Amino acid sequence: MMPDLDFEGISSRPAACVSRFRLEQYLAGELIATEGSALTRHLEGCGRCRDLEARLRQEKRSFQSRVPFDVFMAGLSARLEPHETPLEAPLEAPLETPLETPGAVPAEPPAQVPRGTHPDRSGPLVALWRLLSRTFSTPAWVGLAVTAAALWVLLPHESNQLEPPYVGIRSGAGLPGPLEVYRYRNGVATPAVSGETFRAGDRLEFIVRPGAHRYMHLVSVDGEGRLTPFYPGDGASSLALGGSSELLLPGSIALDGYIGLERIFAVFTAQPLPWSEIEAAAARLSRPSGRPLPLERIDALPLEGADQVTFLLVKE
Amino acid sequence: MALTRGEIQVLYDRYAHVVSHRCRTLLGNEQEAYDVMQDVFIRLIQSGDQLRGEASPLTWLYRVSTNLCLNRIRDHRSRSRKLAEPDLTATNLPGMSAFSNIDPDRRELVNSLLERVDEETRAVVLYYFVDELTLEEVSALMSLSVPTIRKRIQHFQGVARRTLNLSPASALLLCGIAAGLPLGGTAHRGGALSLEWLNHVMRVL
Repeated sequence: MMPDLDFEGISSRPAACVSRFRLEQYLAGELIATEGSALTRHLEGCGRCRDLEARLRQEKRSFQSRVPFDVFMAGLSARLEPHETPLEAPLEAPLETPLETPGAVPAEPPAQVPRGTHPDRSGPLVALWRLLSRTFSTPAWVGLAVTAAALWVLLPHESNQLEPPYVGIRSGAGLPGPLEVYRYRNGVATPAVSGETFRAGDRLEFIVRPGAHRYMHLVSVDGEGRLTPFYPGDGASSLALGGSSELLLPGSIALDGYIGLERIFAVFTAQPLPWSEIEAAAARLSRPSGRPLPLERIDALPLEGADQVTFLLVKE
Repeated sequence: MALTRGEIQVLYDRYAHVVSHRCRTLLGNEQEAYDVMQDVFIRLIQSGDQLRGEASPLTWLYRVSTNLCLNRIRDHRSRSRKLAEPDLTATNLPGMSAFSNIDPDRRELVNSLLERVDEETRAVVLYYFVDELTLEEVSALMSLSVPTIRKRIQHFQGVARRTLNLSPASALLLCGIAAGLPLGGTAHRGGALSLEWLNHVMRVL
């Protein structure tokens, strides 16, 4: 039987002081008048809590300078489903803590986009959704969508999922490949397959199995020929793998709003490979005049002495 | 019912920095924290009705951000469980620099202890030890009774004691260390893990 222990005794916070959560409620104006007054009096006499309050205010200023509202909203808009962007719809009832809408807020979508993303372009599916929503009442076009989905499942159709090509690096039969990709969408992670469709805002995580190779670049090239370093994020020299046989790369990569094909290349080498060689190889990819790169047919960057595995993104 | 852009701006002004800080604390990775913060606000936009039922939007945001961070940690752990631990001294992995200051054994201890309890208990542990909320505040946040919160903490303490074969007092202190330590890779900067307290605990252990 567990003895009864003094749980409160282990906190580093003096009993009279408030938690960070409580102070955040205070600063957000969520406390009722008597609670707020009591906390104001406490702050007047408590240097520890005053310091915490100052720190919270500083954190707010710092965050808002790093992520201004327009950037914040652009990030949200990029990740919302087309049918989930009714940002102009009013609340039917007020929140219990009333929101004081500041000044005139522009109703049009934000012009600014997050750094590192291409300008968002509406794809054919978005256009179709808009057309449906204008043409039919909601139940009607939802019914059409359900019918279309059922037909898609029931009727035979050609898969657009392509096998990831491997150049010089393979796992044994039945073993996982050298590059495994997971897609995060709305907080849910699922294994991804080369040739699947992806959306702006999807995030990718990677597991690599480099075999005997010690260094890697993980990059992407889109149909316009734009080269983006994923790992290391600044391009620079190769990512040192430290002899790991399997490695979950830290963090994740957010997809931008580019519409079309984009191919990821994992370039494994025995020695560090300068970024300039990756750039030069990407520039050598043959692009038909006035047309996108035929990424569906390109299975490697033209590099000597590098083993590669690639993964195709179909972005819509 | 979704929120208007103007209403989102008010919520951004009041709460976005709070959610951002919370996600950074729990995940220890700036990029992932930003990602989860966006998830939280997407849920917020989609959940106007739920939000209206809350006396405090901050309570709702704390609960959702905690759950999403715990989900992210669980997903990340399940994918990396069988992967070899990278030799961090030999790598230049982006975003992992924060790991360099953390004892991997201690991080593993934190994760292994938290993995042995259910998600509700995990959330209680975070609120109680990391956020240093009172039992009453945790109770209000999770809509559970104070005795239930106390039982969850005792359960976690018991798991730590059995796992590490410690005395109850040591296990209690260790629970605080475990919960105060980074879950995703960076040091907790809050009050639960003062250096003085940590030194005291290490002496006890």
